[in-house]
Amino acid sequence: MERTEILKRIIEAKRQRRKKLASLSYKEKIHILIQLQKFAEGVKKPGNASGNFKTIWFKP
Amino acid sequence: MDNALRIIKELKTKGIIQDYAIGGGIAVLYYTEPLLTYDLDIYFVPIKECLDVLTPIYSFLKKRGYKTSKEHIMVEGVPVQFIPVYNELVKDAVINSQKVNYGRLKTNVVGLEYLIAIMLQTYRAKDRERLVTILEETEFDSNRLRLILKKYGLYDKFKKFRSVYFGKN
Repeated sequence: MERTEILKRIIEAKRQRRKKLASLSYKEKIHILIQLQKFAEGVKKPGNASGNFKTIWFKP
Repeated sequence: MDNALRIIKELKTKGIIQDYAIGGGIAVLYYTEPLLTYDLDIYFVPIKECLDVLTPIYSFLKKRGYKTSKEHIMVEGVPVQFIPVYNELVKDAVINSQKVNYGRLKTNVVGLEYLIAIMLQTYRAKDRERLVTILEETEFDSNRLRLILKKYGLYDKFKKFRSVYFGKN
């Protein structure tokens, strides 16, 4: 299989995955958002350099 | 989130605000894959035009024991930012917002085409990033979008944006 063909397949698979995620219910998406906030907490800079307010939400 | 949305809805039923709709990242997330954001933006139409439209909201919420933190008020663990409708586009977006289910609860979310128009108007880096996601992932009504964009003088900006990011005219 050609490299461009593999790349096309990967991009299409990613697109399908995004589409699937977009079709989740609002509540499920908020649940994922809170998970994302928790993951980001681990890699966030100490202090709050940007001055933005960033906090993990309580459970939905 | 359920409780936060319930309290926000109460602001309307108790006549503290005229109308409201979820905007910003949480509105985008309704239409796209989940994205990282930290606050819940609520656009609202005040009951009457006055200088301090936020005071009635904050008084109500503080009486309930919710505390402010920078420009947010923490409602049931969710940092909420109340934004009065600051121009005709945003007001129109709230009035024509979409009724959406959040579990058993009904809430209002800015409609997709209005959301695109608002992001084109504010046009910060994160708006441009979200616009790309929306244009790639969602099926918006292009006729409705064109009408809104033309009404608010954003159509040329949209065409330029599409041409830069998608190579389309």
